[in-house]
Amino acid sequence: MTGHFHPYHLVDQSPWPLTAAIGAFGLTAGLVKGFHNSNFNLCFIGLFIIILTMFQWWRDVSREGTLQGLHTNAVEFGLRWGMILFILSEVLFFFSFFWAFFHSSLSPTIELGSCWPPVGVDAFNPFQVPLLNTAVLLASGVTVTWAHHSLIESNFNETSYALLLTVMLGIYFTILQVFEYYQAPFSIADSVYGSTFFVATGFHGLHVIIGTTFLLICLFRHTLNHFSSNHHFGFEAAAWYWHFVDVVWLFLFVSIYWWGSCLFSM
Amino acid sequence: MFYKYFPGTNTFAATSQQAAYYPQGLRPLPTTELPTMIYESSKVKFSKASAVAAAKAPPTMASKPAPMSTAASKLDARVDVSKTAGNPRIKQLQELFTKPDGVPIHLKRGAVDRVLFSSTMVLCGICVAYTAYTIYDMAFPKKSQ
Repeated sequence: MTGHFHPYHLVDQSPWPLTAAIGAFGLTAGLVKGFHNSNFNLCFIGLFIIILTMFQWWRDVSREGTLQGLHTNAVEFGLRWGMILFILSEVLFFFSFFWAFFHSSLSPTIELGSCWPPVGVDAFNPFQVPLLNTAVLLASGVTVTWAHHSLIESNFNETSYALLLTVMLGIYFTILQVFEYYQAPFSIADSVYGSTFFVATGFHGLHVIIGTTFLLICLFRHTLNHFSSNHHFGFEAAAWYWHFVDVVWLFLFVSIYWWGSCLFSM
Repeated sequence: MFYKYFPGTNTFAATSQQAAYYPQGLRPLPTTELPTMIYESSKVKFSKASAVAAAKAPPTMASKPAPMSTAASKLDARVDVSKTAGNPRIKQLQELFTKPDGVPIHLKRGAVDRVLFSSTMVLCGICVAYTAYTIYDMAFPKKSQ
């Protein structure tokens, strides 16, 4: 590390952008082939390469930060902005689904019966499982904050407990959503209601799974002593992401589950 | 209160406990004689208790960050040092990963890294060939008899 008179991190030559690109290439070509003749072998090879690449790439990033000391204040500043802009792009991604939902629901077309939910769609009762899900996600927001403050206080055990609890609440949310999907009286093919409902809540569910994985990796890294009380951006990024997922759910709950299930007609 | 020495401005500034023991940065601290640390100033006054503690074990600024065990023994027993800061396993790995041997980060750990890397590369070769075959096969499908 000596001989560099600047605070920036000049990364080593890395094979991972190439392997990620090859994996994505195989995945997309494999999907086309799979849709064409139900042979998904290439698709799975591509997916496996992407998983291997993700593991090794992020492993290298945590090596650079934790074991090589390359994440200086200037580098961490860049990482923070990267994460902020990534979450902003995710906000806009969900914004488009809410736009589609409100576009369709605020002036329901004559084909839907000029009412929302459309004729024949039996919506979920928002005050059963969806309300429980809201409570679960809000509670997980509390536990992730508990984990963060325990980490700042150098309390190793409480950080582990709180983080484990957060991951478990995330898994519980996913299980509840899976049951809810199984019991749904409408499908993604049931008018624009089913489309907007399942695309929005499905992508949210995907993000919950990603956030849970992110927090689980943080738990593993914490047990390996990767985080110190004043240098733990990996954890903070996971917490930001988790709060983002939580806030998206609140909007989903209030607008799609609650407001969207109250029958009104034009 | 913990202080950190800034060689550029030749001053001390308040800092966190950890940064005081493990000052981070790309440049090692200069090995020249350091000025004597003056803790007390017009703004900072010592209480009797900490004056006694300071007299018992005067903290010294070493040219390199001292290992946790010696640094901790020189200081007052009440000082609470983060458990993770001096974790021996992490220290060991930090030594391994900062060895200037020219090995890139993705192979630095040794055999396991090489196995993972080469299997990823082999899979990539298979994937490129299979994708090329798939695209050709779908572009020029065999005529059914």
